[in-house]
Amino acid sequence: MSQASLRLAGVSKRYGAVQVLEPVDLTFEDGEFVTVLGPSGSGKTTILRMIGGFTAPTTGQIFFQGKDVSRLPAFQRPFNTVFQDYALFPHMRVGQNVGYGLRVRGVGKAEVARRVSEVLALVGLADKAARYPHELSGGQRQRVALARAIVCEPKVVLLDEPLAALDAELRRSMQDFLKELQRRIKTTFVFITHDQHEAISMSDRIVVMNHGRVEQVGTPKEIYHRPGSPFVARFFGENNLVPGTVEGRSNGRIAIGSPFGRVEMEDRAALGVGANVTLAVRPEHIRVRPQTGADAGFSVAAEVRSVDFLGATSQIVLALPEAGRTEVRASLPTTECVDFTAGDRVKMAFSLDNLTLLH
Amino acid sequence: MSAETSSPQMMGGPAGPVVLGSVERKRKPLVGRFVAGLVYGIPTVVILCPMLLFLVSSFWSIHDGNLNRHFTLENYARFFADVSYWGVYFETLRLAAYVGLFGLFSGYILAYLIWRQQGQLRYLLLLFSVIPLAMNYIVKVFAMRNILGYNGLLNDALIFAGILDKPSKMFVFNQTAVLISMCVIYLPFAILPIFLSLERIPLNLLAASADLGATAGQTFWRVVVPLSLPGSVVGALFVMVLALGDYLTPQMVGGSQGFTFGRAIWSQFGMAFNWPFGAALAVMLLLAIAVILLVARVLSKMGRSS
Repeated sequence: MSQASLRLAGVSKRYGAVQVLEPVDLTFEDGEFVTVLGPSGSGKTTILRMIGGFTAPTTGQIFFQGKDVSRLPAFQRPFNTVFQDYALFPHMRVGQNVGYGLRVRGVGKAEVARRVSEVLALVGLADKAARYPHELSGGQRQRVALARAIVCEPKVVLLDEPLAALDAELRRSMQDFLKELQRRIKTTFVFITHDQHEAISMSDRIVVMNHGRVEQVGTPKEIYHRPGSPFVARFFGENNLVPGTVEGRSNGRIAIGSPFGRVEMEDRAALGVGANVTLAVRPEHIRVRPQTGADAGFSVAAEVRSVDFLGATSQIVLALPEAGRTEVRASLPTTECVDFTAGDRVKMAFSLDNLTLLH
Repeated sequence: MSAETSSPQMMGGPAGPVVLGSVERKRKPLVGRFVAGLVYGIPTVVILCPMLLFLVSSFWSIHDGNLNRHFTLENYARFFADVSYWGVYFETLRLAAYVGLFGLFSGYILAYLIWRQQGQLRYLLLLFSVIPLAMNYIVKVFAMRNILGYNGLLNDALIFAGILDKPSKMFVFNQTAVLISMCVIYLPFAILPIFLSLERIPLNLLAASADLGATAGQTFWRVVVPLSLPGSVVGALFVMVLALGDYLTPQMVGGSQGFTFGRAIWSQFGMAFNWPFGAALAVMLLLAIAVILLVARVLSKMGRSS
């Protein structure tokens, strides 16, 4: 059984009258790649700074391997950080930057040299040890910062939006590199980002934050397919959100009145009749059919507003005439929508399994 | 646009906007040349020319009270031949070096303490420490004379503390008095550049250092000092240069013993009326300053690459 190596228990942060982080409970397993995702001001960097020891939590405790480390100063914690702007020491060469953590701990010269060259080789900068940070490109600096953070073999590596300053192409290759590196050194990575694509492609688990609160914790698939709140549903990719009202319940199922008509779903949250909810369905789960054709799944009459060709896929905006002017976006393979033009009366179909109930 | 289209009709009218529209493009290089002329001209006229004049006049001579404008090295020969001038020259260099060193150490400690403060207190303290810069120089020297004098604050304090039985005359009208006064008067000039060089250190470098396991002391010696030292040394050398040329402080608190090279130059201009010799002495002082500034350059380069 795996033991949670890093645990936040009721940790919160308040600056004066501003509550930047509501009490949160989080666990990070050994060797896990966890992304803390949220828009700016959601409290994600505050969490990282508190784990790192740069900010003291207002309430709560941080446990590492069962020991409370919340009162330990940063230099005594077995975690290392990759800072957003890298924070490389400008007066030290790359090798000295990377070896800094070893030198201040009193590691012998030969040992420092050996481990520095080892780690520099790992990040592909073996030939840059004698350079100064200002002589390197952004991506190289990034890798120096990484090398510096992992050379002391920390139990947890904290990464504060490390890819934010890189251009798109470099970013993609750094994502792969980071993930690969994490697999090789088997260290817990806590990765902060505001980019949901980054989070989905890299993480074992994602912690979604908003307004100083944890919205949802789960694997990328769980979060994408089973968003726990309207915010999460909107934040990850495109989503169609429509309002609904609980109209009846029986035998563990509820009936919801919505612009899609009356839909029946499993009642997971024990909602009362009359409760307001939100229904979400992803554009890629919607199919568009001619009005006359038979369809096995759930379908609603709709009118085509516009068809936008996007290459391999096309986006169709549908209006639901039965429900005011509610608009729904569908994303289809282009081959499936050559027949449709604006004004066509069609059927919008999707499987009820792909409908998510949010409240 | 509007000026351009209306310009043909308004050609004959009063100048103003008409000229702007049509001639603007041709004028630009002229304006550029004018600005360049100002940029290079003002320093040339105000700084370089007087210095050149000094340099030239240091090769002239005075005979029987008349200025002789023929090239001669006699002023420099006189300086190099007279050991007493050498003595004052190096004595003054040493004095200025002490003032610079005091500025470096005390200024660094004060600037560091101010830098470590949070929020408003920090800038309040900084303001207090540099307020003396806005005060009149003469007032400050007089204040120092009062503090150091026979019946001054320093003697009172030492007697009160039981260190002295009776007031001492050792604090005023000698070289020590000049040193103490200059140290106090020039300290704010050191604090400001040192504070600025500390302020330039990104705070996340300190966070990174702590994150990598460095104690506060290790962070101070391995990150803060190396990064702020070049700027601090340059600040201290600046103070040294100020102290080198100062002739008023020595005059007012130094008495007959507190003789400095600045006073020697001043006496050639103000009393002996031997301007060429005074100019030669000033050139020698300028050479010392040039050497100091060169040292500053080399030091700050070394600081950056170590």
